[in-house]
Amino acid sequence: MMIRFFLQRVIVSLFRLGGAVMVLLALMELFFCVIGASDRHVWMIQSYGPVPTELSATPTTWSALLQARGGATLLVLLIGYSGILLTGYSWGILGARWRKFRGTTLLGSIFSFIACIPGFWLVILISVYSYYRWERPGFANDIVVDEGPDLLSLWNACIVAVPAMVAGIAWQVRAVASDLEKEITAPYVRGLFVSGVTDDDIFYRHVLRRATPALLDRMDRTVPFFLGSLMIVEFAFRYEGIGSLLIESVRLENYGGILAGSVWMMVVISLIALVRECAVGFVQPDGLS
Amino acid sequence: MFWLRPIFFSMPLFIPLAGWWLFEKVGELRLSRESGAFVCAIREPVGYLNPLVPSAGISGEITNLLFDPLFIRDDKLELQPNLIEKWSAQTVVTIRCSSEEAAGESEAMLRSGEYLDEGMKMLAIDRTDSVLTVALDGLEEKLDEKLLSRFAPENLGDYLLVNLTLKHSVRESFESFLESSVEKTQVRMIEYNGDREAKFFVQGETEIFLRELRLYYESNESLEPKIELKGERCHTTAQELILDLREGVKWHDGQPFTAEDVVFSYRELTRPDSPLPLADSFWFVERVESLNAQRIRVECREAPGTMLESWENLPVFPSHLLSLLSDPTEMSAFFLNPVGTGPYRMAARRGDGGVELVANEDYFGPVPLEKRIRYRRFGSLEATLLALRSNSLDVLEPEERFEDWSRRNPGTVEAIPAVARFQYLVAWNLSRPPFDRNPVRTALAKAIEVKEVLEDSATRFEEPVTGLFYPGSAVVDEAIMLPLHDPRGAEVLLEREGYKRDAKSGFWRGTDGSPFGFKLSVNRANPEHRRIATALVEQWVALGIAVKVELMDWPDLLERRLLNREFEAVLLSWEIPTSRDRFAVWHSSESKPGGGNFFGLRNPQVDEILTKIRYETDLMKIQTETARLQKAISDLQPCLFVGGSGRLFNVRSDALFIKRRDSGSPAIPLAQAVERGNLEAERPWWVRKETLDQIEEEAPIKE
Repeated sequence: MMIRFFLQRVIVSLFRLGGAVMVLLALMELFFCVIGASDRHVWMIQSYGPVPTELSATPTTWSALLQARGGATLLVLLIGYSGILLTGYSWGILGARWRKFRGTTLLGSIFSFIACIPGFWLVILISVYSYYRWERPGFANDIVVDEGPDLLSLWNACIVAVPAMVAGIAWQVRAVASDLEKEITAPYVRGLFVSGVTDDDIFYRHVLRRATPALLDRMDRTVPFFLGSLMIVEFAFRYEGIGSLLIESVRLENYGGILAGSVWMMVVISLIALVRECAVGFVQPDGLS
Repeated sequence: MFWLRPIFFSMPLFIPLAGWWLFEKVGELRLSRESGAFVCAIREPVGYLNPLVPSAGISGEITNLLFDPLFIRDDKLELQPNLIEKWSAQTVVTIRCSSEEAAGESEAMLRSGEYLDEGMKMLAIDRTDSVLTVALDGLEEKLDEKLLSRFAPENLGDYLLVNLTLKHSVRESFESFLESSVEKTQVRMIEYNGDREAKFFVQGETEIFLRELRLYYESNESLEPKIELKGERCHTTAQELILDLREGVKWHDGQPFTAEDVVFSYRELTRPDSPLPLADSFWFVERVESLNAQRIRVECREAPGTMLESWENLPVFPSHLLSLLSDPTEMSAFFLNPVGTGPYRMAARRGDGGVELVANEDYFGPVPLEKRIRYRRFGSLEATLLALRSNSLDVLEPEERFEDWSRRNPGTVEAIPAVARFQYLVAWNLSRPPFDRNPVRTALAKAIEVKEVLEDSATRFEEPVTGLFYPGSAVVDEAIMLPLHDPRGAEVLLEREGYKRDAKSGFWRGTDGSPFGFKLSVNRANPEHRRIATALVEQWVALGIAVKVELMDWPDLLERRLLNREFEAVLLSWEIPTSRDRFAVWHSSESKPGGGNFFGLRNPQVDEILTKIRYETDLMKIQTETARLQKAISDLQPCLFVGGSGRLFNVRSDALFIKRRDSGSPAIPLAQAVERGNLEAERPWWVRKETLDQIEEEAPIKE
């Protein structure tokens, strides 16, 4: 049953991915050829060509470029998405548990407030601070670590991840808390309370357990937003990832770069959606049928 | 599971803590590795660091820091010992006396000084049977004849000197002949010179022996034998240069630098398929061998006054590493991280395309004060500016945006010029009309106002040509007088040559009505060449001369045009050598296809001057001849000298000095050191102000 469900979801994901690629190609044709009057149609192989020097200073192939840029963005995604899931779920649950106290609204509000500051300026502040603290240019790819663990790459990835992560956490905290609060208003909770079950037991043993499928269902909602934000942040900070590749490719009207960058993002989103669907199916077996 | 909850809920707090930890760690990274280094910002990744490949930019600079030359030039551009500590020249005369007694008597006379002229100094003498070997100081011409003129004629042997030249394997072939020869007892004192030549003396019935020898080699025509009778002689002469290497010099891997390394480098670089064929530079050398770890003997065919300069240009490689390598990829790997004897050694290649150099603590001379030089690429202009502002950047190769910024913010960076050791020129093909006529070439030169062609950039300055020799060299004491810009004069010259201006088109036409013009071939890959070509063509066209620019890839231009002499005019640039010997460029013998005189200049006067410059040792006479050469070239106009060019160092203002450790002399600001001329050669001794301050602070503590 589980395998059949998994294969079913994989096929659906592939169809979804194929559809998205078709839509992307149609959009490229529309914007570049129909509106932009370019004679390089998306179905012509010669429209794609090798990696231009603007995208890579040294000669490389599309697969090598995608590997390098994709690796850099995956690191950002790993940092940012982990932060979103960890903080979003833990403080979302905490906020719902202590909903009686007004102070708990601060848990999500802090991030909501920070998220209101444009991410660019947030990172500028960090970079300016790092300049005075280190007496060295603070961000982007200006320094290369030759010995030991490459902590600088990790730091650069953190810098890029922070703006999108903060907004993602704010949304995730509110979404998790709201799902749980909705579950708390269900009639069985009142029944449990009347029958003498403690608040703690009601929340952790019943409400949280019953709300798990709904909570898991929200785990991938921030991913498209996160990757979308990365396009701007990576480009602004010259971080050599998929987002900046996509923006640079659009500026250069390079079909290969646009297609490679977009497909990479679609694959990542589809994979996380597949994981979410499988997780929900696993905790809610009746959903498998 | 209650205990798990606090951990779960407090986990987000660890995110900022982890961020802070990372921030601190990255900060430490800067403190331990970024500070204390002399930082140079580069624009392109550093390629192979190979002294065989002439390179003027960053790669050349780093290569010079890693590899030390055998000789160096001082502030006056005079040759000074470096890896070669001292040298001596001797003439070795081997004399075959008539008998053992005659040899003994002659030896006694030599030892007593009776046979030695005034000023003749005997360094050594050896006698074996009737053969005397005498080593005399110096390489003076006809020293052997002077010596023998003092000998009693009856003491000298009566021999015929024969010279045998074969295509190869002369030793094996001649020994094989001797084994079967009936008259071999008549042969004395065989000397083999390399693989091709043998000299020997013959006594007695020489005709029979020579007939036998000729018959033998007539049956071995494939060896291309050549038998020359040098006449009645009893001696052979060898001119030798003895080079003594400096002791205690080590390669960067700790191995000692020895004579074997020099001999290995010489052999590698003078073989015909060498990547940098230096055979032409060592035309006077017969054989090179190491006598011991520190001493090299160079047998010379001739003794020109410029022979030490040839050794100056020989890059030296570690034989213990390179002799084991045969695969080109292994050689390439060596030149990525080379091992030299220079004041700096390679520490690492950086991930950004730069390199890290550290001071060579085992350097035989004073160890550089700057312990680490970092060539690095900055990711952005902003990062470069911040680094400059925080004194983390000392020298840079500016990009266009930086130039704009620098103009708006004067005083942050200063541009310091090096020597203008490159020249741009248009080479005419003198074997093709109309360039075979001097007035036409002069008219083309007069048509150009070079000041309008020359243009400085952020990394390079340009100026009119002042001479044919290295700027500041002692061998030349006056500037070359090149034709001045005179469009009217150019027109007069063309009219005299029979050209007429077409009133309708404004272009000049020959007597047959064909337009006067030519094709200028230009290296497509060189943007400066393209710019200069455009500027020149504009001026020629303005005067009514039709010039077309032919853009070609450099290998094509070299193979199809220059080496075959299949061109009308070519725009070139060359690096002026420090050597005064310009034989390879201007001499008639080099005008054949493949030679360095691609103008096709054939002038007896120039040939005579070049020979004198090559052999003369008196500085005053050399200066006279160099002045004559410059005058002759200026008159003949085999090329149009467009301009000279040199590197501009963009350095942090008032931050760099030149200071040698233990030199006793004060640190000189880099901007003032320009006047001393050889700024690039002083590169290992560039020191930051911060380093000087630190040394001053530490000095009292040591006391």
